[in-house]
Amino acid sequence: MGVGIQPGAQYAFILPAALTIAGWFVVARQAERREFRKEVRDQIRELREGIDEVKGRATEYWLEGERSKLPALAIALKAELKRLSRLVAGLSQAGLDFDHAQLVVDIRTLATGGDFESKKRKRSDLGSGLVDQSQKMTVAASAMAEKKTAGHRS
Amino acid sequence: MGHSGDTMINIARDFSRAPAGRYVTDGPNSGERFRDQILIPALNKKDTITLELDGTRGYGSSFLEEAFGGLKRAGWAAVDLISRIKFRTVDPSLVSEIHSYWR
Repeated sequence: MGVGIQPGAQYAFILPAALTIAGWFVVARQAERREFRKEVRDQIRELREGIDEVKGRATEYWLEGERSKLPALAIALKAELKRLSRLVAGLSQAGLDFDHAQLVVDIRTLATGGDFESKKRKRSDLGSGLVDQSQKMTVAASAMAEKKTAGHRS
Repeated sequence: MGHSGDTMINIARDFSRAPAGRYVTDGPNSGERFRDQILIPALNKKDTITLELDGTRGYGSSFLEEAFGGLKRAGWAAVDLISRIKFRTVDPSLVSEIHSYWR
């Protein structure tokens, strides 16, 4: 008596193969999520550094007592603001949906409004406005990043 | 130059790569001088203006407020300014700020 072949046995390889392929998809998706979260974390870190740079440059400009140093400090501050704007736009392009343009406007206005680059500019202490605004910006970006990455996790 | 009835102004090329300050007394590249010598003459003779904002070393709000906010103080209607002045820039925050001075 020969060995009988169970009906459907020729298809037995299908289930392990399907499970393997599904496993590949799961692993690839998890890797993609990890990569996205890492990218966003890096961008948020850069944004924090950028905001700190702007605060530092603004403090230098507004607290400098020697008038001859002001043009160079003003140029440095404006360059940092340009960089900050690029960083925030980058976060927005990554899909973090917040009012990035208005936040940059608020920070720029606080740092370079009034008598900025004017002969009337007086050495003064920074108000709390710039600090509050920049904190608001970092918090908004971080919250959106958290929401976005949580979405990717689910 | 753009199409007929449109003036193309590149701030870096036609005014300065280093716009700075509010009033003429603050320096040669002030917002007041840009407004009076570049913007207002262009508004007076052409239908629309396309402003290229990129290529400079950056803008301070004091310059932007005097140059663009000053147009409204000079009597130009916000709706007229918004419809006639268009911007080209990679930085959307600059356009937001300028428009905020016209509201």
